[in-house]
Amino acid sequence: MDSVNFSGWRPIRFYIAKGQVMVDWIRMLDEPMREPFFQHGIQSQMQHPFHLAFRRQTPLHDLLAWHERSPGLDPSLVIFHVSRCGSTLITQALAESPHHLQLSEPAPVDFLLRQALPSGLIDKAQVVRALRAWVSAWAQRCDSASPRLESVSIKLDAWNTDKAPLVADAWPEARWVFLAREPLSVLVSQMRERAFFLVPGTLGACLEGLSFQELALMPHELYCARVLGDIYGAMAREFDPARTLLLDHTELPGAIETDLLAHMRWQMPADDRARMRERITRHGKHPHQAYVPDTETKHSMASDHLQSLTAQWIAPHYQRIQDLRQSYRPAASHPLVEEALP
Amino acid sequence: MTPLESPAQAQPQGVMVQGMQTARLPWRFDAAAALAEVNALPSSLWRTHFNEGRHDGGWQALALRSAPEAPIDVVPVDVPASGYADTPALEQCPTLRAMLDTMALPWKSVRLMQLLPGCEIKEHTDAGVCAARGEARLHVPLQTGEQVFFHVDGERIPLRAGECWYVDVSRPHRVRNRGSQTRVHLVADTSVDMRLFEAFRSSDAGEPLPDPSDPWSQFIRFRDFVGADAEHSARLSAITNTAEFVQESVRMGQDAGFQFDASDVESAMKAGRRAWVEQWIL
Repeated sequence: MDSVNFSGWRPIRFYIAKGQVMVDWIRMLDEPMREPFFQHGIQSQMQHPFHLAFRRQTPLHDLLAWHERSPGLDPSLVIFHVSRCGSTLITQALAESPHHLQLSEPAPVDFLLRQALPSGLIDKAQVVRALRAWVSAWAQRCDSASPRLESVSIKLDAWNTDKAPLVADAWPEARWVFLAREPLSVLVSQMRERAFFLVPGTLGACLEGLSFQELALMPHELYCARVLGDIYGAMAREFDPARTLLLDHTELPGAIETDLLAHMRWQMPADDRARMRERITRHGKHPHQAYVPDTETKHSMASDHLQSLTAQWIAPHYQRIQDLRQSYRPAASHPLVEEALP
Repeated sequence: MTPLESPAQAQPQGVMVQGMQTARLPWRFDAAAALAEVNALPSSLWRTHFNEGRHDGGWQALALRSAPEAPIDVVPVDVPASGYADTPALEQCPTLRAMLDTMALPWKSVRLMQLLPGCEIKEHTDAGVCAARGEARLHVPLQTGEQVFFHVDGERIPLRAGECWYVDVSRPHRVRNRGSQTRVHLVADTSVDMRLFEAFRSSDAGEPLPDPSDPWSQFIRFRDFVGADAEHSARLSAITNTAEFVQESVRMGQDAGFQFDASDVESAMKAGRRAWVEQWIL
């Protein structure tokens, strides 16, 4: 029996047991996951009895060994974003191609970026190897009859933008996109339906210098504004013009086909492009609904208090992002980008 | 009844001890003498265990201490130790009485539990009964054997006659008696006081029982076998009906030389679901 043969098996979760990092695997062949988020895709898989009873659980070492034995593709694109800014529309557009693998906010990557090092069980070099090995295990076909895999993109969780240096170590060749949106709309959207990461405690003591108790007692609008401000701030700080395309929500969806595909240096096949064009007319997270711009509605809902929190905690960072975007604008959009590619 | 003694005031009073899963405590008893007393009790005192959905009819209990508030004498209820009294059965069992006195803990519900040969207590949890909440359920096996399989969270607990064990029954646990004689345990509930806390400190993990015949460990080996075998993986993963899936797993296991039960597959499914769901619990 060969313990490092994981052909057809995919790592869905890291966890810590008996003092080491473990990997939980399900058997999943090449079927594409079309759900807007990685976790939802796995959640649907969990309805099958086989995935409940016959998962494989191995030490991290086996995943690293599998990477060496059966290397898959590295991501050609890493998507960073400030939440509620159109990032799901980008990932759903790319996922229209069966030649592309889109991994959207996978919890295992968040584990490696945010929890693995503080656990003290693995060092930075192992985290980097694990990141590479995790994507690699997904970014390979196990059936030769499946469409050839040409490119891979990974969308990180918004709060992981400050972990960009680890991402750079893991995939030095990958292109990045930083997607931002004017902050009042983002804050209004989050106050209407708050993402879990904006509930105090879920990210630990995430604001520097403040204890968890202080965070829990902070008024929730202020907490959200400050956490979002940190994400925008990380984006401005981690911007690297050599690899990063700065996009704004106002440029979507048009810039997906032009700037973004060119930036990731991938020539999406024409049939897939046609499907992508149709997909981007619909809502990112709710594909049965047409997309309707709502920035004005969101602004009209903003209280004076939210406006002043935005101005104090987020807007200065967003202004820096906008300034960078102006300074490093690609010479022009490339409507004829297909001809510009090799 | 003074206000301090009212049930509302008498919620878990014990020391909360984190991280205790199972422990063999430093007390040893004469199981043979205790068993002779148990066998002398009229068989009419035994009741089929009230948790009827979780066993196949072979799980029985006999009350040694009970609370007047309890709907049935073997049911533990949430009142302090002072709310419990010895039953006439305990008065006929001086060795059992002496065991409880030796441990000198604030006893609540105390009962005898037996599992008939060939019978099974299915996987279940007893919410809140754990040292982490200051409560403890102790087991003293009086008659048992190597063919009795007591699993907590997928780990086999090596309970031997005359030993005293703490088991965290708030975690999923189940018991199978594949031996030829009835398994009999003294099961006693207490809150965790400093004496029990000290006993935890000098506890150990017990002596392992032989592994090869353990059906759960047979299942684990079959799972490894399926993981590394594309053909078995493909055949089993194609089945979407749960009952059919369980049945086919057992059959394919037998064909490949692994002896386990449908309940092992069911427990594996529950554990697999739990592992996936619990990652979201902070």
